[in-house]
Amino acid sequence: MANAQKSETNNHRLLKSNNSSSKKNEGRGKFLVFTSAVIVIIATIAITVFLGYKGIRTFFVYDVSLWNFLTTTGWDGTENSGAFAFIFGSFAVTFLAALFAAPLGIGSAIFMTEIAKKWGQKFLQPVIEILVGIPSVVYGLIGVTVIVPLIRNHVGGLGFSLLAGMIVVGVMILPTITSISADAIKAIPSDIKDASYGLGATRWQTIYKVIIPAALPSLMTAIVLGMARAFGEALAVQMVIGNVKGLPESLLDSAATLTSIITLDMPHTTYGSVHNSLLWSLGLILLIMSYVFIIIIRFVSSRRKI
Amino acid sequence: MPKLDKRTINEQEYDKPNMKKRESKEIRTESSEFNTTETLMNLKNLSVYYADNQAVKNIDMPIEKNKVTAFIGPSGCGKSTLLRTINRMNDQISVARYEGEINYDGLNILRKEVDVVTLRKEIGMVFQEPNPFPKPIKQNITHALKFMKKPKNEIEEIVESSLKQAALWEETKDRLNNSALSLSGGQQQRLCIARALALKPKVLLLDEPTSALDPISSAKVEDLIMELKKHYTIAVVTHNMEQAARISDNTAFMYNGDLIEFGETSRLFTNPREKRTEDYISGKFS
Amino acid sequence: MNRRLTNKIATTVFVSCAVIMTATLVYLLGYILTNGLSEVDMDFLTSDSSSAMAGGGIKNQLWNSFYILIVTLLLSAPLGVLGGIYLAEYARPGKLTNVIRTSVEVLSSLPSIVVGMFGLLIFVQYMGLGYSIIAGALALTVFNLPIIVRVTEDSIRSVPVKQKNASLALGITHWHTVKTVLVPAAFPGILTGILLSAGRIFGEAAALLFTAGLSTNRLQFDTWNPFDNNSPLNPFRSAETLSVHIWKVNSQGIMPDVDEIAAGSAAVLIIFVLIFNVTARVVGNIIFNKITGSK
Repeated sequence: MANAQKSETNNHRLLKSNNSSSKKNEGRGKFLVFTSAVIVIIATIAITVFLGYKGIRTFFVYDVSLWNFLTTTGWDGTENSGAFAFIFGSFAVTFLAALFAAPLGIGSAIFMTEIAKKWGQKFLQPVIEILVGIPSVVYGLIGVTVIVPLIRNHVGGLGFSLLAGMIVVGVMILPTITSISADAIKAIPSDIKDASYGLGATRWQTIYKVIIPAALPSLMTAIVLGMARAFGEALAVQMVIGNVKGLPESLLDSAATLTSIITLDMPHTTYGSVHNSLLWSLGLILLIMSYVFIIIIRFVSSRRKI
Repeated sequence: MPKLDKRTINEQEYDKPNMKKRESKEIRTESSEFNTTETLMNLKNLSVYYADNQAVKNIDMPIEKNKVTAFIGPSGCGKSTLLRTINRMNDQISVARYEGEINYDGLNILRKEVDVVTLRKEIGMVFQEPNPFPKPIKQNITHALKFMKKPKNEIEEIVESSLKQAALWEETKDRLNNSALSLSGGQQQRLCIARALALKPKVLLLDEPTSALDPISSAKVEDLIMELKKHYTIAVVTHNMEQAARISDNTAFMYNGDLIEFGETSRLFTNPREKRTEDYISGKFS
Repeated sequence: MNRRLTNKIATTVFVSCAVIMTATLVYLLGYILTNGLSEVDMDFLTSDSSSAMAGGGIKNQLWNSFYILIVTLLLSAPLGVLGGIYLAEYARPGKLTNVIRTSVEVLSSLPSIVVGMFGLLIFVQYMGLGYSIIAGALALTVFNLPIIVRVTEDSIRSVPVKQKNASLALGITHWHTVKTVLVPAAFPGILTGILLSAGRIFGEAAALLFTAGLSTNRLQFDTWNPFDNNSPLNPFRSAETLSVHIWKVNSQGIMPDVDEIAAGSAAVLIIFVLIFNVTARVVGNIIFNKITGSK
């Protein structure tokens, strides 16, 4: 074994320099996957930069006042346009939708994971996961054909309203919240629950004192993810909310959101006009909000105990 | 003694391999008495760190050619880390770092310039838990050969010869295209050994190769190890001291990252020089 | 006694939550299917849409949806799988990896209308692709990429590390190990993820409004020259998909049978989305069993 090679340690068969083919193969693979990963970064930066640039231009090139834009209403496509009504509309739809979807979704998740375990996980969970994938235009269509007439005939108003928007979006994010919450509750180690039952606690006491506190950060994440989806939803909302450019005075009034106005106005504005530029600023608000939601989710999930 | 039990089961149910065992036992006595020793690998002042934690501490020892070197010691003593350093599998762990040298064939194989891929072809490894690929038996062996672009007819030959060497040919020759996962645990482990042998390595590293197996399968793997040392240099990590005593020529006892004692197995087990070695092999701690 | 009563009330509340939710969702699906399927027949699926008269079909929209879906998957699947491999196997903890992970998170949480606006700006205008299949597919790639990256990373990470060790210890390079051991073992998970994402792409509309456009040329299904304006294969023509059609018919349609067309289109859309979802689960399970099962 110990033969002539011994002295030539810089030309040994085990050195990399003598095995270039495997190195080349490895290098090519690494380059390929790295490039793909970098494309993800490039896409993100490109979106942020281009939307930021187009959105900010409104305030520098067209001399629109940022304060005026954010705090006043009245949308006529000129320098004096204010987007407050739409910002309000987006937030209103998001919070109202979460207000009924969150308890319902988390309640259902608890039912699936703690009360009817077998049935819940074998049947309900797959069905809910499939419902997460139902396209939003379909929710919008149901809103138009079922919910809007229902409100018009039984509650009042035109039917196309904040209330309709909230219901449609709430139903849409319900499966999302339920499915993530159910996963979170299932992730709680069973010995924690067993300990509680072992101490003679009832199911409700266990849920209230053990399961909800332990899963709270993940449940919050589920709600925020649902809200992020609600905030960015365009077509389903646009189809039922009525798209009136003023502030709504009640739930039964028509309203508009950032997304619904972009959807409606974008095709009708000319490239380079003030009106067009204003729409990019609305888009920038959506982008900023999706960063905000990410930050909230990171903050919430950093408190996760399990 | 449990050892005896094992042998009886063995004799009743597995006549053939037991014959082999007797032969190999004889060879062992011969070789340890008459063969001269030749050092294949030399560990010089070897230390392995995981971040700031020193898992292996300044170890000096030889690994002798065509011998079985056993590494024993309590869990966490660094014996598996040491083994995984010899074929640089520890490179997988991003915080692992080495100091000192392992001299093998005139080269310090811990050098950065060493091509670990080629190194691992020469220094094969078998793991604690049998880990065949979820593929047909045959493909488990051809997987690496195809990567090395061996010619087809040669591959066929190697499949047969390595399965024979691993004493698995008779059991598998009629079902080479069945999934490797259909084999029993012991057969899977021998397939993993066959897979390593197919590359014609010079050294075989076995990391607790029988700890996941039942006694009968373990005995078969032990027989195989005895058989293989005629052609290969073997280093084996084991928790089982009886096993170390049965199969190894040299034994290294490690404790807390230090090499406490190294020597011929027969001497180390009958007449340990260190108090801690004695305590460990007599079962005072584990 | 009190304790038990509370428990009972709580249980009732949870059960009603589940009942309300299930009832709502089952009603939704049932409504769309019962209402819509009565409108769907061979004629509806195979005739051109009409802009003013009754009796229009969805042939071109359906074709466009599949065309855009396929182009999107051709672009996003390889890129996403490779990116996922990088994160699972090559990324070392550090700043760059954090940036990549944050990027994946940002991309996956972008509102689809924002992706559509970006597509309008970059693909439609700057790159001069106009409202086209290719612009739509590129926008949807942005939207789909993070999903495939995640699914790939998760699937590869869930491959037992002993499999990887087995290959590396045989003197096989890391890249070859990835190709021949890790990716095959992760394949059921990756495929399931891709099929699920296909359902999402198929139903997406907002990102396509400003990229693939709201209109379709009168396609001639005997013209297969991809550069012909009326060829179904032309990737540079504008293309209204099925989901966009539902939205457009509903908000701008003037034909007398708007409701029927929307309902029928929605039923067809839902059925395809369900097919993607169910296939994803079934195929994933089958392959999983094949790979891990004995014999």
